[in-house]
Amino acid sequence: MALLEVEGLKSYYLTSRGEVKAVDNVSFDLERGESLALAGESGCGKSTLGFSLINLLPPPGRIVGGSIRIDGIEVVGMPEDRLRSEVRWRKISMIFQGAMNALNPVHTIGRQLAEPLVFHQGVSWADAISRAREYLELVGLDPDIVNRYPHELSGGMKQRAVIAMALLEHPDLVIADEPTTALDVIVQAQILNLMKSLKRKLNLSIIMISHDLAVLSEIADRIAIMYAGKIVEIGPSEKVYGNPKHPYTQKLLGAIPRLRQKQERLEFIPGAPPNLLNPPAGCRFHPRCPSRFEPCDRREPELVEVEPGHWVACHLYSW
Amino acid sequence: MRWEDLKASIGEFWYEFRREPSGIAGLALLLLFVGIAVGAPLLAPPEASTRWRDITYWEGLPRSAPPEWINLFSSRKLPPHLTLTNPEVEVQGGGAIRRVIMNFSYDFQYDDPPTDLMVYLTINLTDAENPPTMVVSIVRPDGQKIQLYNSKLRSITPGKRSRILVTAEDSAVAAAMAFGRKYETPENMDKVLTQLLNPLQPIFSEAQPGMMLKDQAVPLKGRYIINVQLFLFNPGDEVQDVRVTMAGEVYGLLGTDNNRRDLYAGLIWGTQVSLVVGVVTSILSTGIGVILGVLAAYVGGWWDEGIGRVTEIVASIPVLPLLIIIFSLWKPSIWPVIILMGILGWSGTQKVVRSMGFQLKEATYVDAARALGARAWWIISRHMVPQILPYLFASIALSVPGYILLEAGLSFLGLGDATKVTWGQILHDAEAGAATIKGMWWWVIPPGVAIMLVGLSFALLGTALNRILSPKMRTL
Amino acid sequence: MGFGRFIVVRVLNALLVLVIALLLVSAIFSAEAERELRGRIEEQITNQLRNNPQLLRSMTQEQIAQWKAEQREILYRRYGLDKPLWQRVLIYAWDQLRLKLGKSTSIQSLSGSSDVATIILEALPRTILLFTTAQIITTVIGLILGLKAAQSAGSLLDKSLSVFALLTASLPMWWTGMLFIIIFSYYLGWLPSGGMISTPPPEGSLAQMMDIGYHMILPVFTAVFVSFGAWAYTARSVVINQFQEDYVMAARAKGVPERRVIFSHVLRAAAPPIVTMMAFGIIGSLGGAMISEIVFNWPGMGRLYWIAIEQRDVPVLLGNTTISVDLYLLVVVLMDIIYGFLDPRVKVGAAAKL
Repeated sequence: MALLEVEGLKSYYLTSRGEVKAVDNVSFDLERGESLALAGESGCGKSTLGFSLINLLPPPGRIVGGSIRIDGIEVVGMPEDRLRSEVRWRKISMIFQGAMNALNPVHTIGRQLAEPLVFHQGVSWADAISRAREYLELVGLDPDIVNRYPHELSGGMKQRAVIAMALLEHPDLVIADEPTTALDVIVQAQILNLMKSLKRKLNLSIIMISHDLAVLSEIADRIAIMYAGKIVEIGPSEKVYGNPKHPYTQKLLGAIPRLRQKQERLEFIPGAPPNLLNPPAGCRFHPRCPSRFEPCDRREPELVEVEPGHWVACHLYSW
Repeated sequence: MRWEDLKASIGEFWYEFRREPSGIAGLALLLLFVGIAVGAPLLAPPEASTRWRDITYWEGLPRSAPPEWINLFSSRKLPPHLTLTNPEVEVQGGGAIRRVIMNFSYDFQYDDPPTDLMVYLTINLTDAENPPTMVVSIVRPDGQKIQLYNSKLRSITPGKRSRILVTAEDSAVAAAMAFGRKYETPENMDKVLTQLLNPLQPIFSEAQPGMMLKDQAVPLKGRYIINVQLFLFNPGDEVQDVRVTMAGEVYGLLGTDNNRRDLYAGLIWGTQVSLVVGVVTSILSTGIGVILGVLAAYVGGWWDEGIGRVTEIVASIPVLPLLIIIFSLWKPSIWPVIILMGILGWSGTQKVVRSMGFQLKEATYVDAARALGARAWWIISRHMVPQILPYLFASIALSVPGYILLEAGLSFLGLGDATKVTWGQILHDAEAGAATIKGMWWWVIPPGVAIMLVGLSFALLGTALNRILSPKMRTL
Repeated sequence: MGFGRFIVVRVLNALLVLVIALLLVSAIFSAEAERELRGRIEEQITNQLRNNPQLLRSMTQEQIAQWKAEQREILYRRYGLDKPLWQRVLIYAWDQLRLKLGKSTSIQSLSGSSDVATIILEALPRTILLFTTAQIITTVIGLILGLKAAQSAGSLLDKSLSVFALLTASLPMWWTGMLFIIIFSYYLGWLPSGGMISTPPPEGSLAQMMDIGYHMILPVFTAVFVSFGAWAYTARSVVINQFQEDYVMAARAKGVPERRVIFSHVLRAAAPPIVTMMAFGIIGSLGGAMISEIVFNWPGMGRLYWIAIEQRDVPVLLGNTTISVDLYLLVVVLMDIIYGFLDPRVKVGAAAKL
């Protein structure tokens, strides 16, 4: 049985102007020790998907349908207090953008790390803090940082502390939401290496959310490409990265400069992502698609397996 | 920023502004007040402002009278303050003695008698030693005629508009007593104090016992004729513009204060001061703040440090106590008030503009301009100020209510400009005249509501401007 | 910059402001007083001469002029007018700084003293009593309502709070007091229209305290009514901003109980900006509160201002201003210290710009 099974997940934002279908009928699963990358332009619903997994959508967002099973336990519709005491941080934890504001400026690092231990496991503050020290060491920080405030740390240090915070309760699954954004390139590489080694050491399952495909291909076993609230392509990382099938993925990769390959010029994707209040009929990418043809604006393509483990939702492959 | 860009951005701004109902409400309210301030000379006599403190100007009005419209909410109808014009005129005789007879018609439908009767006239005399004689009588609806006044007009100045307060004359009181004696019981007559008697009390009551006492009299409603006769003894004498005023217990739209001043006129003229003080002070303080903010951000270094220190100091200067002491030693006047409030009020703007300036200074196009050799003032005026400008409008609008409140507070303390009427001063007089404990709500409520509404209009406008303009600031 | 240094800087800043304000006041006062004094001296000399006809007759015009000049010099020295203006300004400011406030010209304290410091010391505790009571109630109501509104952003409570805040923001507190006196005292007769204690005062200290409390209801209600809307609104904005912060989301993701998220994360992190707004709020309403004392006939410093202005008692005016400035700056420094204590960026280590 897979660690995480997501089926037909729908997360909408119910605004006064209508439903924003940020995640619309998404299904995938994830094995233990596997890492999955979620990629796409900003506003495609990848962060909404991430927050849906811990059932913490900011209002007016709501999970309106589908199922999320972690270790076989259904999370959708679970009462808030059980979510809090059994799921959050113990089964699924999250790595926030540490360089930004994931750490509360008025509390010490130690306090913020130790907090969930105290509230979930009834550990004393002193024990919790000493556990925090261990984990700070694990991520390569000086354990005395427990007594420091966030403003005293650099961006990279904060990001490491945030990673330590996510690992403290041995979660089965870690969701990393743009963990390296706003860090400079060298620190980015350090953080990615740290995550890779932690994944190996702790046999972690990771869902990594980023708009930066280059970063994702470094760490992910599989890549899922999202467009306008849907997964349009999912498969092993080297297949998706090396042999993209969906026109959107092709464009997206064409928009990235590559070091190892010869490239004529950088491509850009014409048009803007669709308005999710009222997405286009048929394939949602068709207004921007260079290879659209007859059925694209009428029928929605299903995900089809084009090669083992590599699924694409495009009429080019299913028609 | 070119003219076409400006026009386009104003158009775009207006398009967005129209969709802010609170902003539209604020703008409408503000336009109303601006209309009142500009149209003040049409809405109220200019003397009401220039002679606000001159009690002789207000003599003709009733003291502490509530507004007329309270009659709508009360079963007891109080007589309004009414000036009768256009009498029926008849001239008898010619040559040496002429008799001018004027009949003023007064439709009396109230439950209290008028409080006073006064005659206004202008007389041009050829012989000042021989003034005309005036006779004033009232013909009641039941046909009875009572003569209140019969005397030579010795005390009036020829050629000047004069007022004869008929009901204050002994002859009027005597006539009222004589009239009362015919119908009133002797016991009731004994209760009457002639010094306190309103002569019009019996004259406007049913001729029956109780008519001399305010609480027992039954008003006689109907058409009264006020008969004014003038005997002119010189052929060249002229009488002009004779009017009779029946002083009432209710007056005008907003009533009067204890100095008989028309509060409506005060409110109208006070609008000007309030708006001018609020807007000018706000522009002044915002202007200083912007200049110092841009300077600190652009020049930076020691300038920034120094200006920052000064800003800190200005920010923690207690404004009200300082203004109180300054204006209780110096004669308060509106412009020094404005200037001082402006000088003490810029610190907030400076801080915001400084941080905005620092962001702008880092912007690529400013770098580009500098690389192209643009001068400092060019960069400031072409690149920084136009970006800061939108914030400025919101900031000006939002700081107006504070200054209006501050000025009103100073005026309320009695430190207002003595040559002008302000809302705060009206409230100062109300406090000094114990209006609250006498329940004179018409004296207290309108100025305060006006202060609140003006403040509200700017606050609504400012928040709407902020909402529209601030997203643009974020995209710097 | 450490916490200690931060406090020292803030106190020095306040002292600097105090000195500048007192110098300004003293300069204005000295210039004005000098004019008056010179006029009085001229009058005195002329009177002396007129009351002494023999002297007048015995001297020539020149001698008279000389005699006048001599007298003038003597009197100038007696009143200190021989010293340059700036010196007198400094002496005066120094006296004000040391709270040597002099004698009043007409106002007297309850005990009959005309010592300005005594008169103000009588009024000061009453102002503080009224003001702090109102401020505490405003703060508590404002915080609770602001938090409730922030938690249910967009609800009826939230919207009506915004409208109420907007309406009351431009309401003069003193005028609202007048309005409430008319409503609650004149028409409804529920509460006294003013004063601090009934005349004659009731027997017994408990009864007297109750009586003062009874007299405080309307002024406190007025102050709270006018300010709590704006308070709640600012608290709401701060808290809503906090709710959107990543660390609040992080705390929830960590499975921390909601109550603790609100108290330990949202409110704790909102505390420093709320204190800043509190400082502005308190300073802003201090003036309004003082003016309101006049309306409620509350014998505090505001009422003293009114009497001093009406009677042109300049020493009391100056003394009152000095004490007001002191009080005001004390609040500023106190708020700065609380702020610094709450914000670790100030308390511990490098704060970029203070």
